[in-house]
Amino acid sequence: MTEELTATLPALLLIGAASLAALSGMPMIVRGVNPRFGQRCATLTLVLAAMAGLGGALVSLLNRSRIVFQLAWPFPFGPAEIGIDPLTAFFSLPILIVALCCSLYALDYWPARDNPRTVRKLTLFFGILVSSMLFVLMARSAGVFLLAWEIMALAAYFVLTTDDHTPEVRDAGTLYLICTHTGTLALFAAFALLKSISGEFTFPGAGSLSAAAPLATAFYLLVLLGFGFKAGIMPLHVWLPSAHANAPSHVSAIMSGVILKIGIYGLVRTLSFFTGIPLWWGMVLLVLGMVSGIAGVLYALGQHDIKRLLAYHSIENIGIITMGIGTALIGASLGSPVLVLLGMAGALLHVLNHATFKALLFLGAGSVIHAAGTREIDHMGGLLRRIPWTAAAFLVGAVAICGLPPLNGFVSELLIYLGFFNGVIDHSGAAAVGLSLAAPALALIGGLAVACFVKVFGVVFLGVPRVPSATVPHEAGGWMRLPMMILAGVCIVIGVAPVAAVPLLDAAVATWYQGPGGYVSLTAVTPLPWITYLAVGLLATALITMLLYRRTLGKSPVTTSATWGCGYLAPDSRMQYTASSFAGALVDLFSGVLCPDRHAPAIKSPFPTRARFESHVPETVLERVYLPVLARVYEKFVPLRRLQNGQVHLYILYTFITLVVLLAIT
Amino acid sequence: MTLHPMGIELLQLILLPLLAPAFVGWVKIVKCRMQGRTSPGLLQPYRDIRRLFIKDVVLADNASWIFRVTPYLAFGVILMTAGIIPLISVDLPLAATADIIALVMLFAIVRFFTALAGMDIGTAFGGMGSSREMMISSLAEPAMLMAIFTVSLASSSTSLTQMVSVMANGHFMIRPSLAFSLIAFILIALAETGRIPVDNPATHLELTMIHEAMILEYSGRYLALIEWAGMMKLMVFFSLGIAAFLPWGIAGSGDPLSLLLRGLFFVAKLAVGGVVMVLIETGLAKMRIFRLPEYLGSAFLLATLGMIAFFILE
Repeated sequence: MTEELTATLPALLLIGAASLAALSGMPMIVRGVNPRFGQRCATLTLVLAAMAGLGGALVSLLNRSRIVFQLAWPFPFGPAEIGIDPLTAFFSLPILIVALCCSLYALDYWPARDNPRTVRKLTLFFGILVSSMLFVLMARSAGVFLLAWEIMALAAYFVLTTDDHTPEVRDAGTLYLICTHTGTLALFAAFALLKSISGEFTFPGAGSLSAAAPLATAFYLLVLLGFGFKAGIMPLHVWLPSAHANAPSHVSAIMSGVILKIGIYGLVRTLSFFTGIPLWWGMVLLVLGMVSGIAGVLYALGQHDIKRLLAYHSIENIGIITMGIGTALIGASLGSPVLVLLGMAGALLHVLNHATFKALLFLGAGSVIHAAGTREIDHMGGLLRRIPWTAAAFLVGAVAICGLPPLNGFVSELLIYLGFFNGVIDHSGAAAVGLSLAAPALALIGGLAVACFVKVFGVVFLGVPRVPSATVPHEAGGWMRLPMMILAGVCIVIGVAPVAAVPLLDAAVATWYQGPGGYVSLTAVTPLPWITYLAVGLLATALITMLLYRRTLGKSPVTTSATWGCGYLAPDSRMQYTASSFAGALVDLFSGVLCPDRHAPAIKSPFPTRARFESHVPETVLERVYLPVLARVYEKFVPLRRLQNGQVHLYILYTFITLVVLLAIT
Repeated sequence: MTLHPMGIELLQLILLPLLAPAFVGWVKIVKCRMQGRTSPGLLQPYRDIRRLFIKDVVLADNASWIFRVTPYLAFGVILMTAGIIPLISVDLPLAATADIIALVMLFAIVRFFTALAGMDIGTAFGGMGSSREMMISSLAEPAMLMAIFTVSLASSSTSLTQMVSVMANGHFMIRPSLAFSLIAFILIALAETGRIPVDNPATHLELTMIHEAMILEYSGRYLALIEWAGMMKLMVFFSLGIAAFLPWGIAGSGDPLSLLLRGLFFVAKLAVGGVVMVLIETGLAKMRIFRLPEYLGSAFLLATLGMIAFFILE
């Protein structure tokens, strides 16, 4: 009895949290409710739900409990099942943490008093979004999954287009809607295939289907397409930069930090069904990960809109996660549990880490935008003095996303590196070659990410303001600072004590992989304790040197004077390096991939006149590949458009004919 | 009588900062001889550091705390690497705290903050130096990892002490993979430590500066720490090369006499390494900055060749 209770209670807590989250914004529907009261009420509800959910998820993860509830479902595509297992519980952690922080952040970032028109919609759909994501994780049959998936996609559309009076926001929303529905279409086909492979709409257990089945390959390609669109794997990422850039910052944080991870979850979950996975499944993911990672960070280097830049970094990090999953799949096909463990644990930990540091960076970007009144980083500068708290939080996020010790990004990247290394040592042939090239690819990603975040932090927070602003930038309010501090704290804790995450990762990976070779624990194959020593050593080094300085050397006098400009006495803030000039050399080097737009004046006379230089890296994949192809397709389909002539009675006729045909067939 | 491992660790942590200026002085002596100049002597770098520590600091008006903290951070982190890389013993408690990947990341932290300090003061020079340094390092990092990866393949471990013990105790064999990785490693070490043909440490000509441009605004004790950290970094890279490619004579017992002998042997290897670097620096001209990607690309290619050679031949 007690055993059953310990398993059921956390599960019920998580389900309760999901339901409560959906209800959090409901008071906003009532016209009489004061939006300010409604927002506070919704935040409180969501915070309570998140805390309850976090408790439930952690307990059920540590107990490794699996529990499935069957719902009454009188419709086709049944039966409807929802369940909790370690994989679900693990993925719900980032959702709950980020949702908690973002809802607090909204109190000061999108206050009801300044946004009476939009706050109702935003608050309502924010709660529904969080709830539907949790239900996607808990779904155990195709019908429930697709229902929750679609609610999630639409709720995300509504929160994304909060500011729907701006044309760019509407365009971004439309692009997102097209991409997400193309993905969903692939998922419908995939789950139909799953039914014909396994005979049921409920999700099969881990490792219960053979990947050798003829339809398995088609299923794999379809889920890759469907979930790839959501996760933003290159080249399916085209919706992502504009969507993340145009949403309110805390929505960008939840989109980038969590919604992309739902795509990853889908991939991880559906791949767990199979056993006897062929090598090329893993290789495809590994290569896609390398492409997403490198191209993502390169595009990020070329951006000077702070949120677009962060959006491209999401593509980069999704690439790193995909590389980890690819490594795990290669391990599964070679029957090497160590490789599976390192790859999958690295990928899962990076899911959690990316959610925390990217949410932190987006929230930081939000308060930078509030302070500076623009998203253009070339117009910023010297904000460190004005908004020191935001700057410190952003620095933590920047160090973490670059994968530097002692923060959390380092831990997950190290696990993936060790995965590559073990794969190369223990195996030979194509797998070893792929993994041995993935290691320098990851190093290149890391190196370019460092360059990019030196650019962002240097241009935004350091130096002197580039454009005189009308108002003095102000530090973010308390409700904006608190969530940033929470997220920075999570980054530091995971970075300093990764051992704490081991039982969580062990439980989640053991659920995913049930193949041959048994299961090894993460502590047995990785030197996790030494990361703690290294991190503590680094922090101690910083402290000791500071103390020594205070005691002895710090007492000698310091003179301040103007910056040295080679004797030039009237330096101007516009002489500083801008973001474009900082990244110029690297963007030039990779111009074959990036295709930057450049409008440079030609100097014709010895006394050049006033000139203007502009450079900009567009979304090349969208503009050079998708749009021309789609335009061509559109032309070819012109005759078919006569069918769609805007007369409702004709549409009713079409529906009627379709129904009759369907009846005749079945 | 044997020394406790912790004692050896401490010895290494003291040896590196003390020896590093002498090593730079040695490089200068050899370089001056080669170029027919009179050298300032082995002790000049010590005198430089002392002079800088005595001088007052002049800070730029708009320098923030990042600018002030960076020298200490750089010095501390580079000093930490001295405890990790086996110089005279593999029996190091701290060496277990980091493997080769972590080591690469430690260098990246120093670079991250130094580049930020370059951006902090708001001049064109600082930004130029940071931008160039970031371009070079982001391209050097994959090549560096590939080269070291190949070495660690030969010993099946990413732990440095493990690599040294396996290589030094195993049968000597000619490994083509290591030859390729060694060349790649030398190319990258020259780039990472800012030597000719990538950067000229002695230049203050604005248009060619890379590393110097980043730290142009530092003075007094801050500059002393940065310079000292730079000297240590040079020596750490040499030590890393010695540990990875010439590990003989590093491992051994902890009794003082044997330690002293191994220390002397290490200094001898270092001295020879310095001469090799001077030969390269004297023989080559500094490269145009836009050709550096080709240089680093060749380093990566060589490292990849090393990896392929390992798969095919070993």
